[in-house]
Amino acid sequence: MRAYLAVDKNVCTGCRHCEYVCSYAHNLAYNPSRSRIRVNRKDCLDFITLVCLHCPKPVCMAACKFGAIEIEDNVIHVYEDRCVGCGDCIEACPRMFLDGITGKAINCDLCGACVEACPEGALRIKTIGEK
Amino acid sequence: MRNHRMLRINLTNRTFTYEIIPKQVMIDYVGGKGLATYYFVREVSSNCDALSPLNKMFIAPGAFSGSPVPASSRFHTVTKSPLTNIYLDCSSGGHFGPELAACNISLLVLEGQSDSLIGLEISSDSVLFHDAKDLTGKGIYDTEKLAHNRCGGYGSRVLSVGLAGENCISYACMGNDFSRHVGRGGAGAVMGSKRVKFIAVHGNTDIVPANHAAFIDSLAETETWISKNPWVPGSRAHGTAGNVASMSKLAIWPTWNFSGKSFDHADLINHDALEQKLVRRLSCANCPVSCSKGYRDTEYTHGEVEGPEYETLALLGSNIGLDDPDGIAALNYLCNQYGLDTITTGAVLGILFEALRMGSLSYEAVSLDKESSLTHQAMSLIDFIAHREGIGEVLARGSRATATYLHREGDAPEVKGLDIAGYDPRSSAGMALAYQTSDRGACHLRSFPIGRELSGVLSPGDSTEGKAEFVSTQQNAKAAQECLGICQFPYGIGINSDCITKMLSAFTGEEYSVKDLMLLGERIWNMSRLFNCSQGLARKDDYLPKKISENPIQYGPIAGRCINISMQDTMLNEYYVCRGWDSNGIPSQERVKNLGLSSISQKIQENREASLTQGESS
Repeated sequence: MRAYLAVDKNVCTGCRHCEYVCSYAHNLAYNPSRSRIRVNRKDCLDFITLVCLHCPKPVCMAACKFGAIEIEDNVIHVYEDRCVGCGDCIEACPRMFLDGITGKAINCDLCGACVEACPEGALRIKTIGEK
Repeated sequence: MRNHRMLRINLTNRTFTYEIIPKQVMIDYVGGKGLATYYFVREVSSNCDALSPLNKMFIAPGAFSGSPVPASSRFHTVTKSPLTNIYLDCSSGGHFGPELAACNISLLVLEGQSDSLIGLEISSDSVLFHDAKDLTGKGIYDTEKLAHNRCGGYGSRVLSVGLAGENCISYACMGNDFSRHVGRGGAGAVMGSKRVKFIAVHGNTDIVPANHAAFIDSLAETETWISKNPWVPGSRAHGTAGNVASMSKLAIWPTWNFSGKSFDHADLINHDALEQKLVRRLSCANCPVSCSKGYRDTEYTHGEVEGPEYETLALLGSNIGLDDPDGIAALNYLCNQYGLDTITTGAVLGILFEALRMGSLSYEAVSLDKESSLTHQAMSLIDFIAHREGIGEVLARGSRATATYLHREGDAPEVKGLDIAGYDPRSSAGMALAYQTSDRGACHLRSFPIGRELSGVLSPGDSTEGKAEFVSTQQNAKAAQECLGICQFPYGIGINSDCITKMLSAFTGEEYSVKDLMLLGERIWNMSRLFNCSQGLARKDDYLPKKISENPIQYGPIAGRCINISMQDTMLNEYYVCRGWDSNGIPSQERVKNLGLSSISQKIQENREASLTQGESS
């Protein structure tokens, strides 16, 4: 079954604690530019929290010319050694990001570090079909 | 401790340099207010014109910025104020401070003056100078969106000025995250004088604690401690607007131009009223409280604000006699777009509306329609101020100038030229002293004795007993807190738990105790006082205005209460003793020496004398 990190947009306050926790979980450093979940503030009261949905027909995978993105067991995975950081995937999908230091594509790997840390309880790993 | 960088941008030459801040300076001054104040008093002559190229703007994130320490997003701006002509320190939460830290910048210094309107794009290793002439006159919300488009998209965080900053209105602020403002006292005017429309920052620096395990442990301890703070649930549920109900009942909030008269419609603009139209809750970076409430005015401007916050509800609500939440939100939104401080704007409008109501000024003389609503009249006046048009030219100079123009000297609700916030000092001797002695003029954020007076920890509001010791100690503690960038809502005012020093020690790799930080706070407080005193500020400037000192509260549970000059004198005498200052309020040489500030004191004098010799005077 496909799983993904679900954001309750009615609860999220845009504090971006998830970005700090995510970057630390993957790099042992606090650096939101390396986070795999990101809050985009568009206007005074308008923001959206974006994270990979591990969708079954990923546009990021289709966009990648280097075969760096694959689906394995319903999880979208970026092979860092094949990624050249061209950015085609992030143009195709706003839920894929480039790591601020390595310049390579990164996406949510469902580690769950942010779920536990979110002060609002706005995040959970949801299996498709589950309410 | 890791290397900390200062970025100096020379706006005149459009050049920039990175400097490593000496390790001992970082250890001693930590970040935020401390670091910015240290460099400000050393580098800016106290007699320079605040709007000249000789003034500088120091912007410093708190020491914890860029880390996930709860509610640690606050950054400070220190400069010379065009409103008060003295030291000005302002702070804001949001997301700008942490992004500056993510650029590996612990202190940003803006020097000189650009010859045309520009935007600055700062990343971890470069500065780009963007032409911003096409943004002339743009509101802060619009500027922020355009700066996102030009500089790194949504990942960038933007600090900008609106028309008020460009026009050097003496109480212009800078906006960030659209609705969050920093700079009452005119930091936005200083930015405007330097012709900087916006600063967009986007960094990619790895921020690593010195001691990982100890840092993670101390974070958990702090989170637990905050979760037990009995004030947090109220802040979380209702934000600062939650204060309206209690402060109005207790006759503490200002009403009808600080007249001390009853305002009967607090229930129309309290948190209950605002929450009926709550759009969404919002938060500063890494904050578990999320006190911010999103509101949309659907009546006048269709503008959005985070708030209106308590101070705005008081100064642009009860203080001008406005009981319409959409009206207050509309004024708030206009001030946000122009980049005007809502406190001073409310103080200035309060004086003007009283003159109009008393008939000492005609509506025609100030180009207002007497028949239109109070909200529409106030909206017109805010437009006049931002454009310096008609009566706006007078109002733009602040409450003192407005009172003088109306032949009502002593009527402006200010200390040292900065306007009194949403707590009427007649109600509280402690608060009166806090306003009297605040470093930048009447400020409610340096010490807040009201709560302890009401709960009985301190003597009641009509007593001077114990207030000097409490206020001076809490001012030191708050100054220390403001080096760290942590917010007083989850942490209380000051350094109230050793979990804070555990986090700081683990994060920086230097051992700090609560006592060390209290001493740091006292040193900061004395540095700014030395700067202010070097240009003649003294005891004479430490009093409440005549209007407040001589006219009591006229309604409610504390009717008749007044903190008269004699009480103010009693508290000042005790306060100066607590501080080790002489009876004229000047730091004694002995205390300066004991605090290790002799060379800084000398530097302040030298800067001033050198500047006077060169014929530069304010």
